[in-house]
Amino acid sequence: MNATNCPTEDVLLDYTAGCLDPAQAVLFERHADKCARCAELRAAQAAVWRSLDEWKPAPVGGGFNRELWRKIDADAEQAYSWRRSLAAATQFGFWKRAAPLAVAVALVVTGFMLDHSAGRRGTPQTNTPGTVVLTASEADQLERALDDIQLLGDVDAASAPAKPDSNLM
Amino acid sequence: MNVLAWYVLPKLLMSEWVQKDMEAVSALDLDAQLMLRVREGDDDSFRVLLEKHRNPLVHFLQRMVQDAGASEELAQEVFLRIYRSRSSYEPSAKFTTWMFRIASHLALNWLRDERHERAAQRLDGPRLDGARPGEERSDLPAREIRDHNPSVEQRLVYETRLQEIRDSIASLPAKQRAAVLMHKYEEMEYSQIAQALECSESAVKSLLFRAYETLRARLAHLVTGA
Repeated sequence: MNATNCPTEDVLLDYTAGCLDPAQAVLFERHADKCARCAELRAAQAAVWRSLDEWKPAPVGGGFNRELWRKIDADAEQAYSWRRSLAAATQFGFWKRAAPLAVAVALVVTGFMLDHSAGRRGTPQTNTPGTVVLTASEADQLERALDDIQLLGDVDAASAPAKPDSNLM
Repeated sequence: MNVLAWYVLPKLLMSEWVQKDMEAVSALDLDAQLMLRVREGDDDSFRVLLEKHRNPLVHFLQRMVQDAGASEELAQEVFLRIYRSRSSYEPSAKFTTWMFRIASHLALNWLRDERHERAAQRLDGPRLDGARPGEERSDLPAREIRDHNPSVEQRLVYETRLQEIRDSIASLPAKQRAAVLMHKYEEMEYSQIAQALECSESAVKSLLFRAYETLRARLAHLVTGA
């Protein structure tokens, strides 16, 4: 129904379904009487409509309501038992028994977290390019090495023979 | 006395906030009013809703999933969900739109989950009408033909036509199928179908145009042969 001046397809559907405004229906009929394409679509859509009318559904089973109410009762019973067990769980007696266990679990978790965070402090940090991160022992070692290099330099300088004075040559 | 019995007493018995909600939907939807009573614990109102909508709902699901047993189970699940959510019910949409929204959701899920199993069952399993292959079931539309004493040949032609109609609907993508069934058999408006399928009205029109286009092509030979 894309041809010029042809009504949109929802007009065709509404016309076939019998829910088109009577004035619009008359306009559509007049158009379809002159437009071969719309006339063909109108006939084909009406045929589909009639075919679908032939499909009568099977009757609903006699035990439908009984089965539904059984399911509703079972659902209510399940919800009730869930609420009851929740209520039982929140009573003081339960917490009295569970409290030592909860404290033990909390202690274990706290200990683990402390240990984990201490381990993290000992590991080297991720460094940005161009920077070097050293531990305290590595820094001492480096300082000692630098001192040794300087000492060796001084010794070399002291033991080297004196250069001849160029003016004397 | 009549005025007291029919108007004043129910008003006095109902809580004020239910009255407010009911006044808001009174012009809109009788079903919503019943549902508000269900929210207040009135199971009789639920029974009224069940009696009123059971058949259309089961028939919609029968045509949607094309499995008699599954359609009844799905319909029961729809009513169960409605009953379960009664305490939080708000009449924001038409009751039937809400009901078909739940039904479409369940049916689309069922079709997605059972696609392969269904394909295998259709080859040798029970038919939609509950009868075994090659077996008749007396309480079906076929009875209409039998009442007019159709010949075996006429009956065969009718069964073949019906099967082709079922197949042509089954060949549609699930969402197009749901849209067509709501449009054709439930006479729902585009806006209601859009709400039920959780899409826009223009998307619904597009679904319907494509679906009917397919059906016109698939069922054309039935028309010319009729």
